[in-house]
Amino acid sequence: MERKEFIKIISFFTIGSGITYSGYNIFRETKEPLKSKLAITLDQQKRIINKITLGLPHQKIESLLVDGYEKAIRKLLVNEHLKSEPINFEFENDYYTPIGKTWINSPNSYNGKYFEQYRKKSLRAWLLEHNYSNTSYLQNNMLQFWLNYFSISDIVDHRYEFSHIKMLYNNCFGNFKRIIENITIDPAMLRFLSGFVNNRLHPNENYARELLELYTIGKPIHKSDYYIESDVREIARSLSGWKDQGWYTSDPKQKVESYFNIHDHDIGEKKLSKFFSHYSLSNNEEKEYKLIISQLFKKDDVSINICSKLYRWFCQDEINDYTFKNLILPISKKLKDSNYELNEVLFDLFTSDIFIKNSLDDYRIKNPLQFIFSHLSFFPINESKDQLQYHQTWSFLFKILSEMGMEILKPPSVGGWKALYQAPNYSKLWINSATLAARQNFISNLLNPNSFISINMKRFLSQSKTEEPKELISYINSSFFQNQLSEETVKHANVLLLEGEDLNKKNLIKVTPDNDWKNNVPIVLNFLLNLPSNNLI
Amino acid sequence: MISLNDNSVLVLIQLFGGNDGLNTIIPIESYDILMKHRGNIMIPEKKILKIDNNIGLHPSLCELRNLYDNDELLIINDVGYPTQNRSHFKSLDIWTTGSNFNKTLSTGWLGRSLDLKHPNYPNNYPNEKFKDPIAISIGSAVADVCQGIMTNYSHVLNTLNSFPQFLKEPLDKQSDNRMNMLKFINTSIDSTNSYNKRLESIVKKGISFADYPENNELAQGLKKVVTLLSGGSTTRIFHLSLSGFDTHAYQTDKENQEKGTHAFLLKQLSEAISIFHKDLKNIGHHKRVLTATYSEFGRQIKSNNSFGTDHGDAAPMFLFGHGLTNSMIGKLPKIENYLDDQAAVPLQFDFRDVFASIINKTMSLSPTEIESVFNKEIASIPLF
Repeated sequence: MERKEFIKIISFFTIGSGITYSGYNIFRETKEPLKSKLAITLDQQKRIINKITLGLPHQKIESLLVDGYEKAIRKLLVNEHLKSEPINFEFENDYYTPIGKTWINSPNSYNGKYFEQYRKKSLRAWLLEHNYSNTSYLQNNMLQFWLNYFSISDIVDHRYEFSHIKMLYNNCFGNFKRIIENITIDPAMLRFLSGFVNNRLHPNENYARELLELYTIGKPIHKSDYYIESDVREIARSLSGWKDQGWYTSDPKQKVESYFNIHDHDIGEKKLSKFFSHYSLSNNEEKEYKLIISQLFKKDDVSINICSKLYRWFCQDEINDYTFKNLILPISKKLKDSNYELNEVLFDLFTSDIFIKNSLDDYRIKNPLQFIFSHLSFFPINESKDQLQYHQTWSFLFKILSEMGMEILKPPSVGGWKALYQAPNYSKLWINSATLAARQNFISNLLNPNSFISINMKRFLSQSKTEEPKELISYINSSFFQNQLSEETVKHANVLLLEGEDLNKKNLIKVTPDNDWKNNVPIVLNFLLNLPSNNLI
Repeated sequence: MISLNDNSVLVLIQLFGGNDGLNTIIPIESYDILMKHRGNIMIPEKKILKIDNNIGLHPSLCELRNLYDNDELLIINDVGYPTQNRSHFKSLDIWTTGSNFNKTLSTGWLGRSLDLKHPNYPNNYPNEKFKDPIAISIGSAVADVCQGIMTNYSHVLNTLNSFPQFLKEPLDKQSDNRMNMLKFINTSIDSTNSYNKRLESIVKKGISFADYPENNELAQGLKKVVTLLSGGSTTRIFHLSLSGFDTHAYQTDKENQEKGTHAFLLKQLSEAISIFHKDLKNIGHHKRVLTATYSEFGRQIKSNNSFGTDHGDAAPMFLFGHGLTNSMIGKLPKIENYLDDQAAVPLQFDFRDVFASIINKTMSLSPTEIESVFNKEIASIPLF
């Protein structure tokens, strides 16, 4: 399609970030995504890998790239299965779960006593710890993508949360249609968007609306050919009857699972609108959810919606017309043509010319997880050998993340973190007077030897393999800041390293007053890590 | 007559999720018909706080009843916009930007109003005339409604206990995406540093008298507003929010329709507003503060089978202030016997006309300026 013709068709319809498209026969002349012909340096490859992964240790990135960028992406796209489980690390009164054992299969209550408080803490600590120790670094970030995509929140039986996380993790780079099928009857989702009480007498529209608006077709737009309110209702009717069981159970044999209750199912005929070719569905009971999802997945909008969101999670806040036409549309077409297998499409995304170029050009504010893990993956941390204290460290980080505006497993709405969708500020929304204080607080903790997450300065110096003060600043600049620090900043950092700073004014680190510059490393880090540059990725 | 002028303060409270208007202000004349459409969530007639034969308040709103009797509460019935969109996100965009249903704007209506007053903001702010934040968002995020062309006017305040200073970074001259982001952070730091110093000294002088319940986050937020005003803050716009109004399931308890999520939230609102008003009197600022609530939509007339309601259209707005001469604008909705499955309450008032009338009073903007903010002809609503 000629660009002019394309622009004529796109008229005034919008998706997500203001990108315009017609939705009509849009894949007709879409070609393969442009493969990377760009010659990119090792440093540039590292920068992209750092942006798309979460928690990849600094020392591992070179070995990952040893066979080149494309092979590295292939390695990162291997879908592992979840092996670790949250454990009871502190609570002595869980009748079913001794300390050190997992609670994911044991009841949430015993004799009128409930265990949700400690399990909430345990699950969140585990999720962060898992991100730290798990070596599937792209999958770690993809899991966060899915958690944001579906944005369940406030599920107070934490076995439900775990089973939700496990399903998403195991299917991270798998089949998108299957993920939507799974999520539609996922016990946590049935609770979160009222599916469990969606009964035949008067349907509950909660899940059906978000299924259309957020998970598949995309935001409602004002045009004659799009889904309409009656589609919300009809889809809700077709999903009625699905229930979860295991919620707050005291029965040790009761697993967390979903089931279909025919008596709560609306057996009448369901009719979708013109947008879905007037699809009509007679009673098919528990098979209906898959049939209806199949109808939704016939629309090009579904793959365009997911591919746009993938691009925005991994690359850039806004999608311009060029990127939309030459990257988003081609990979969307490929996704649909391959019956929604994600792996190859993700490979195409990460290795495409446009993704690489935009990734290198674009800077965003690190989201709080990126902010925390950019430090934890670069600096050696004093890890407590004491199991309890080790787990408390992650609980502590969960609290700090919340103060930074990202309480994991509790996004502000079903739309997820606002910084991912709210124009015109997008990632800038992570920075305000309150969250700046939380970021500063995190850095103070890294530099306070008594905190849970302090940097091991000795190991850091040995990791840097530097002997001279200047070399150390240069190492931090190149390896942590991608050589982006200004001359003035580097100069000031050198002075601080050689001369130290009067810390009586600051309630930070006590330094022995001697002439060894190595003792001034915390002072320099306090300066560098609090710089605005450290908020960018 | 309410005495709002150049010195007045506007407090906006967002009820996030879509408040069910029909269970907030209950049209008693339609009670029997409502029982037919939403019997499983209807408040028992005897429990409704009756203002007259037709106007009923949810029993959780007992404190608001007192405000109503004291001419401190105005109910505006059925506020919405033409061609209602039932998506949280699209509808909230419309409520915050003040756009038409088929347009997308990137600035908030309040931000555009402030742009008219402060065309150079944030350059040279704070200054002698404007020492304090132009707007304050109580919570952990900026208020979208305060988004101006250059920046968002709302300073985020989530604690009165610490006001730290932050480090800026010297920037290179080149202008690329990275530098623009750094400039943004530097600007945020600049204003945070100056406002934090100022806020710290205000909070030292500030005081609040009333007993604000610990478990009521909205009340705790309003306590901060009182503390700031009593400490001499010249900020004239405050934004707060209360979440949880998306009551698809168990809006009311199965057995007791006076209880449940909605009752809890309305109680939080009622209690918080009432204490706030009492305390504004204590500090002598009650004549200058106008508070308004808004929510992205109302809910459908027919309840669902899970003791909840799905997304609908128009809903009432509340205004709170001293000496409000009117107590209700517009008629209570009349509910028909026969309804489509997804029917909702149609609008009587466009929210943009309501907010236009409010800022006309509180921000001294001319009618032409106000029309430019909303890009529409304003139908004046006699709020005051």
